[in-house]
This record gives sequence, structure tokens and C-alpha cells, in this order.
Amino acid sequence: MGEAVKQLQRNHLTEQFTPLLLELQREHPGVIAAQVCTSDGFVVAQAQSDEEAGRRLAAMVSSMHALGEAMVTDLQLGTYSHLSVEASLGKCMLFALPGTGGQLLLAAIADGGMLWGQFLTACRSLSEALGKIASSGRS
Amino acid sequence: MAEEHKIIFTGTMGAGKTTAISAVAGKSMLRTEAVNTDSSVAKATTTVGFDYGEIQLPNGDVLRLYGTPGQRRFAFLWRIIARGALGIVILVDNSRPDPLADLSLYLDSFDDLVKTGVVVIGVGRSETHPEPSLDAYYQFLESRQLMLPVFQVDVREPEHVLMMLDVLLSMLELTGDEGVTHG
Repeated sequence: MGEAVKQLQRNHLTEQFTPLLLELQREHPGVIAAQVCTSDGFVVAQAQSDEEAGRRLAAMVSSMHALGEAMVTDLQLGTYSHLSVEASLGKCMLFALPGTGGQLLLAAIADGGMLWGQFLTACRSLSEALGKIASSGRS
Repeated sequence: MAEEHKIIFTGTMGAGKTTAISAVAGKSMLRTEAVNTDSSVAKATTTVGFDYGEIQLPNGDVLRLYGTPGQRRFAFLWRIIARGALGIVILVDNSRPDPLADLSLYLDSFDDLVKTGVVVIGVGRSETHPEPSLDAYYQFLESRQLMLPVFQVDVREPEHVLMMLDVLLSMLELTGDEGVTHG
């Protein structure tokens, strides 16, 4: 029974998150992929068609998030917010959704043409919107 | 001069990797755990990055203990964590459906380390799940042309973990590997 409820809740989040992830891509064509995953590496919602790539990304995102959080805790830097990775052909942004206790994470990948500040702002806004949805579902 | 030895703890989710490192490294241990949402395993949290702890030996040497995530989806991290390691402890949960298949996965995944021969296998929960027996493990290893020590352990007990590390260090000495030296 408990598992069924959890699955329904996750399905509900998937339905609510997916349009917002797709909207990020529509508004910012430089965004190649975006997903929300659990902190233990399972996809909740994603705006990309390659499911296997999505699963791989979720596993990496959960590890990166956990390492970032462990570093922040160890260095006593307060509350973990986000992590960014910049490469020659693109960049990734990993956010913990506010209000979820770090249990839901947003990951977005953009091509090299997207400006870093623009990408950061878009991801921050989206993470706040997604966090509000997730929090309201819990209350 | 003090030496550092990087040792890896691996095995399935719930096999006791985090517990084992915590048992000997204590509160200074670094953990990267997340809430477990996988309903197939009754466990509140799971390691998704790596665990890290240290033990200082009486001669000043330091054992740096790294625990891997157990699930196969984190295999990309296994390869990263294995870099520079001198030995590996594979923990097997005897209460799982096919512990020998589990062992096989980790022997294959850490093949480069296994080839060095500095490997110890710890079998947990054998008091409630006696099969496969230690003999079965040795036969299985023999079928793969491997001669490795296998112990029945309770990784909550520090002396059990230290015993496996002791054996691992003895094997390291036999191979002549001297770790990384620091002034």
C-alpha cells in the first residue's frame, strides 16, 4: 500500500514536472536536456527522449550532488545549493530542489553557445518552481 | 617514512560497506548517502558517491578506505574510485538470492585489481543464511582460477573488519607493493 502511494506521488510529480522541463528547452534552445531525479539516482521526469542516457545522467547527478553536499558540509560552508560543470562544448547545472530536503535534484545540460549567467538564472528559477510543486505535494 | 595505502570496499547495496568503514574509521568518516527510494531493498539510505575513512597504523602508515556505491548504475564511479587502489575487500550478503553471482559481478568489474591478487572476500549474514557455504565460495573461486581468502564476517564488529584489512596488508607485503610514500 505504502509503495503504491509513493508510486502515485512520483507519477504525479512526473506529470507536473515534465511540462516545466520542456518549457525550459523551448525558452532556451541551448538547453540540450533537463531532468529531475531522486537523490539516489532515479529519473522522476525528463525532457529528453533517450531513456538510457537519462538513467545514466541520473546516477551521475546523484553522485555529484552527494559529493558536493559532503564537501559543503565538511568545509562548513552552509547549505548546498547547486553545482556547475563547464566544458569546452557545453555545461551542466545541478540544483537541489528547495524544500525537498535535497531529495529531488534538477539537472540541465546546455551547449557551448548558452551564456553561463543566463543558464544559471534559468535553472535557479526552474528549481524554485519545481521545489514549490514538490513541497505542496507533501503538505 | 609513512606510507599510504588506498583500499576499496565494494559489494552489493546493503552488504555493509559503509558500516565496515565506520566500524574502524569512526566519526571522522566521510559519507555521501541519499534517501533510498528503491523499494526492492529495505534500507533507509544508500551511498551514492563514496565513503571515506582513515586508519593510522602503529608504524605511522595510513590506510585510506574508500567505499563504493553498490548498485550497478554507479559503475562509472567504481572505475574512478579504483584508480590507485592497492587492494580490495569484496563484501557479499549471503541473504541475497544469488550471492555467488553478486561476487562474480564485482570480481569482473574490478578485474584489474583482482588480477593483482590483493583481494579479500567477506561474507555477511551467514549466521542466518549459511548457504552458500565457505566451501562453495572456494569452489566458485577455484573455477575462476582464483585463490583468495574468504571470511564469514559481521562488519559491525571492528575486529572482523580489522582482520580482513590485516590479511589484505599481509598480501600487499607479499606482492612487494609499498604504497604511496609521504615525507
